[in-house]
Amino acid sequence: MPRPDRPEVVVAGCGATAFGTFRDASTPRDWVLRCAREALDDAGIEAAEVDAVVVGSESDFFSLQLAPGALLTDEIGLVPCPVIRVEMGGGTGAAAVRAGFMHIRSGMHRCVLVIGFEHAASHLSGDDMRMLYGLSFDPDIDGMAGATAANLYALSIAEHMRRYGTTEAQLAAVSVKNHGNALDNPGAHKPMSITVADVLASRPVSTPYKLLDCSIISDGAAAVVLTAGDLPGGRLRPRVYVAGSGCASDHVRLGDRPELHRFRSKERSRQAACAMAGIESPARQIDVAEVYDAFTGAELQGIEALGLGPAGTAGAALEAGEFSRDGRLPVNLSGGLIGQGGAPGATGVMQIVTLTRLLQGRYWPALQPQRSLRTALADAHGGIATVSVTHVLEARDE
Amino acid sequence: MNELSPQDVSAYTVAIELHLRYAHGLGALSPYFAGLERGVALATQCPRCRRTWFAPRLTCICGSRVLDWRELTGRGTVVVLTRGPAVLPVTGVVHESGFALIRLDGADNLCFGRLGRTATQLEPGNAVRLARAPGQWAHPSQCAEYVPAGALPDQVPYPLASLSDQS
Repeated sequence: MPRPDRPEVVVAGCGATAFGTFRDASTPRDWVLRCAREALDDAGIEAAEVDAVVVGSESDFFSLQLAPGALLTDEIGLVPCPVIRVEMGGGTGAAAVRAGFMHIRSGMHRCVLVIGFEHAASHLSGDDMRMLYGLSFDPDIDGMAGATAANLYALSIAEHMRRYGTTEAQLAAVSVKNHGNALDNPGAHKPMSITVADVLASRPVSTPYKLLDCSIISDGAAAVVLTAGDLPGGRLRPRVYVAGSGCASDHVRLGDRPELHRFRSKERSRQAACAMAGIESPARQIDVAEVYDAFTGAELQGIEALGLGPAGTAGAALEAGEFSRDGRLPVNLSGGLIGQGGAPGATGVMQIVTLTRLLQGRYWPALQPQRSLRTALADAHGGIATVSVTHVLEARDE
Repeated sequence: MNELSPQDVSAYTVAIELHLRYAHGLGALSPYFAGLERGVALATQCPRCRRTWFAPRLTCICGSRVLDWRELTGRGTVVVLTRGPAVLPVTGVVHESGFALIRLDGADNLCFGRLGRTATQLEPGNAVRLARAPGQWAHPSQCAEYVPAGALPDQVPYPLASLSDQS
């Protein structure tokens, strides 16, 4: 449960670029400036009121920019604000949000601008990006031997399939759902109307994964303004609180984990976030979720680890429509990494933007559920769920 | 002289190439990598709980900070595998046979391994052994490949050899 002696944290404002492959010669400096100003305007807050900045960016190799925090803080006009830069692989943006949350919960700061960006799609060739991602995970032991995100996720889901009977068609249904949701998200990188048969017929990447089971890497940026709950900042209603934040890690090497198919860091991270938010049954109490779908199977593994469905059942439940836009618990209305795209530094921030707008009833109209949404869950991770971050958002009428 | 008006300049792109050279140390794991270069599986073993780690850990999950090096036979079993092309980092070599998580006999964890060209018919549960892949490699981890345990010696380029046999 939240400690009453700690300030509560409000998402006071949001801003974001589209995700995509930007071939207009624009740069992260342009994108961050745009979405930071949008977030401040959204909150109705002047730059001078911001008393700390957190910047999430996965790799200097991608952006060709070391120490981006200082540059961006200056460019936005926030000098002499304190600033830190956060990195946690694919979960970088989520970790930046958590760092901003901790800034306020600790009582050290009252108004924090959290920015995430990545220049990941248009800056380098695909081969160069694959080479750099080979330096993820344990690069000396696994990466140099040929380990990639695709083949490590594939090994993990293969064990899930063996254990529970999860099928390739169930994996494909995730792709159909998320690409389809992206059709109604004007900021999405890969909107597509496809069928399960299309996914199954797409080019093999690493069995059982095929091309349309994979997420895509994107350019993009997102920003949120977090404020202490007792500040008047934030003109939007209902107010959206970060009611819980959790983070946990697992062994980096898949082979060191006792169960290959389980995302244990995500289970622990969710338990911490839900305990803080007073959520006892995520499957019953969460209204909407953004789940880290680096690959189709990862969404199913994530749903189970997050307690949104029992272990081994997510594939069948998804096929039955439980996680569709009109289902019991919509997952990845944005399209997720598969449909909206994945800009690692921005993804976790974008999830908070998406869920805040959904809780406030101002998301893209075709994706905004008709029913009232009160509680949302954001999930992201780095590695093969090696480090996970979970946030619970709660809408309150005040 | 033509004057350049900033309003007339649209955003544009420049091409930049970086060439980086690293002197990359392998640290306390060096015995493991030296073993791979010879087709030998060197694991770490915890003297307290007796767990054996291949790939090696430098701290045991029981908390022990002191682990001993121990040579395994290099034989083991495929637990799970995936097939599909992958480019080995730095080398540009495209590998087609697939990758697996393998439990070497005597190890408590699994190792990630590249399946050799003779391993195209392997399935989970099949027996394999570590071999030294032919050629020069950019990194010792690229020397290791796993071949069917029954593969004839002439199907692998280097016979298994003990580190202690190396002069």
